[in-house]
Formats: sequence, C-alpha cells, structure tokens
Amino acid sequence: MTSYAQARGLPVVTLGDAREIGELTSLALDAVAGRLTHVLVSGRGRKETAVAWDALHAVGPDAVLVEPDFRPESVPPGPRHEALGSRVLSEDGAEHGAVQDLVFDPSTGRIETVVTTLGEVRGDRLLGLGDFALVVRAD
Amino acid sequence: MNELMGARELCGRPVVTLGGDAVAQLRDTVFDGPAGRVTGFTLSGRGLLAGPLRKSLPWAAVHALGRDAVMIRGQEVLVEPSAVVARKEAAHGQVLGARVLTDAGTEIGVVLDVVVEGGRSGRVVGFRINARQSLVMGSRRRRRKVFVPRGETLAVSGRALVVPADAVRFVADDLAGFAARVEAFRARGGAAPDGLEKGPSA
Amino acid sequence: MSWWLWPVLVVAAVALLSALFLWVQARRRAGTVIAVQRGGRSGERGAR
Repeated sequence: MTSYAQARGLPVVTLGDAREIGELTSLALDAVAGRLTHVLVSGRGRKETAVAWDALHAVGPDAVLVEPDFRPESVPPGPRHEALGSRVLSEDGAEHGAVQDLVFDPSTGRIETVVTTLGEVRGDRLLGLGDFALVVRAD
Repeated sequence: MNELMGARELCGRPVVTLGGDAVAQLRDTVFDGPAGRVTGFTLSGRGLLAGPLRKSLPWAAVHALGRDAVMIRGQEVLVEPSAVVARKEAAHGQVLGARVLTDAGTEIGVVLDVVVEGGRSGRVVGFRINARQSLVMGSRRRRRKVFVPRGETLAVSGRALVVPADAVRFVADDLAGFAARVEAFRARGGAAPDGLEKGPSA
Repeated sequence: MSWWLWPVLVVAAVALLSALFLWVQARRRAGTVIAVQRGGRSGERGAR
C-alpha cells in the first residue's frame, strides 16, 4: 500500500533509459470506480502531462517507474478536481471533514481508504469528486 | 425522526450533485400547507455576483436534505421555476410573519420560522412562533419564541395559519427538545390514520 | 475644482455602484418560506 502524501513529489523515471520525465504532482481518480486513473507529472519548464495507470511499472518509496513504451497524454480536458484537501460530504448532505490522504494499491490503482480529518472512509464508498466535495455513500 | 431544521436557515445551503459539484443554492422553501410537506425550492446562483436562477428543485428530485448540503442526483433534475411555485402563489403564500390561530379561535402569535425534517421525508413538523403571551397558562415557561407542532389539520389561508388547540401543550424551547414534543404530540391519540377521535390527552 | 478630483470622484462612484450591485444581488439571493395549496397531491400525506 502506498499513500498519496508519500507519492507526491516523487521523481517519475522511465524504465528503459532511466530518463527522469518530471515529478509526480497529482493523482487523478475515478470516484465511482474507486480507483486512480492517472498520475500527473510536471517536468522542468514543461506543462503537466498525464500517465495512465496501466503505463506504470511501479510506485516505490523513492521513485515512480513507468514502462519504456509509455505515451504521455495531455491532461484530460474539462475541470479536474484535486482530491487532497477536498471537502468530504456524505450522500445525506452532512460534511465529514476534508481529505488528508488516499491509501491505494500501487499495482491496480484501487483506492483502499480515504483518510479524512475526521477518520477513514473505505474506498468503495466513493460516489463522486466535484468542484464542491468528495461525495461518499452513507454507511 | 431525522434532524430538524428551520426553513430560514436552509436559504443559501448549497445544492450538490452526487458527483460532487455545487450547482446552485437554496432560495425559497415552498411547502404544501394542507399536506404539511415541502414541495420544492427555488434556487439562486452561488457566489457574490449571482442572482436568482431560472431553475427550481422539486422535492421529488431531492436525494437528501442534509445539515450542510442538499444532495441531488445530477443537474438534470432541476426544472422550470413555475413547476415548484407560480409567481402568484409566491406573492400570496408568504408564511413568515403570518398570524397563528388555534382551531379554537385564539391567536397565539406570529410565525418566525417553519420547521422541516431533514433527510428524505420533507415533512413540515411545526413552526417557530413569537408567542403573544405565556402560551400555556400556569406554565413556568417564559420564552416568547417557542416551537409548536403542526398537527394534521393545518389550514393556511391568506395571512394566517391554524393549528390544533391542543398543539400549544406540546411547545418546546429549542429544536433539540422539539423532536420529542412532536413525537409526543403525534402519539397523543389524534394522529391515528383511521380518524380516531382526538381525545384530550392527559 | 482641482483636476485630480475627477478621477477620485469616478473611483468613488464606481465603488459605490459595485457595492450597490453586490447588495442588490445578495438581497435577490435571500429567500423566504412560501405556503401553497396543492389539493390533488395531499394524498401523499400518509407516506412515511
């Protein structure tokens, strides 16, 4: 298991030629599926690119390795919402603190738990992440 | 019973989709007087520059009325404003400040707020009123602003509304205590659906 | 009247107008509680 807070800022390195393409700035997620879909990478002086989760080889303690044949995607259009720091709202309309961290399985990208300022929420309870909040199913 | 809330505090509460986007905020709370149910809300935009929206939220489309937000499935559930309240109704249905009469003909005060149940029910359970005088004779209650249960026979006519005379024996000083009083009022014998005689309860 | 008074007046007028606009919009966002009679729909009252 790895967490968002640990992975943020790690160098992103290609497996083939050990070329550092930048550092991990953010993770994009599909809340309904309960999984992470992309890592967002920004290199020096270059604009942010996205690497699909399938193209990752490993998310280690010191670096993120990507497969040699990966193709950087431009960041998907449309509004993207940052999960870290987002308000957490249950589907019955009550606030449950803010997101502090995401714990995920680095091989599949599955979100195991969302750590909020008021406790933990299982990753399969996520309903959506929008401009206002991360909405979670009521228990 | 779900959490109780005053309709006035609902104003400004964000309307949030299950996808996490805030699409509007509540403006007016519209309820059906005889049925004692919220029928919907008119909306305004969010932010300092926004004004009223030309959309409204019918109660059927509410996923949950919560403490911090009103949840809806998606933006597509919002409808034309006239579906919730016609302009003429809005002009004549203003409840805040209306006189409260008992069915015995006593004026007990004016409406300060309407108490609704959160969650999925949309029930109007009572009113916060500014009482004319000590509401219950011989009571030690001194507060003039009290909560009164709605009762099943509410009539809203013009600028006044009518509550059962025995409702005044179930007043509460705060919302926390009010939930218990509403239950007690329902259980007093008159709330049976088969039309049992509303006997005077001890 | 000194020449520099004009820009000051213009800025003051703009500030006043925007404050007025924000106040009016805040008033328009403020809501109330409205009772309606939906005769036909009161059959729902038994639900829950």
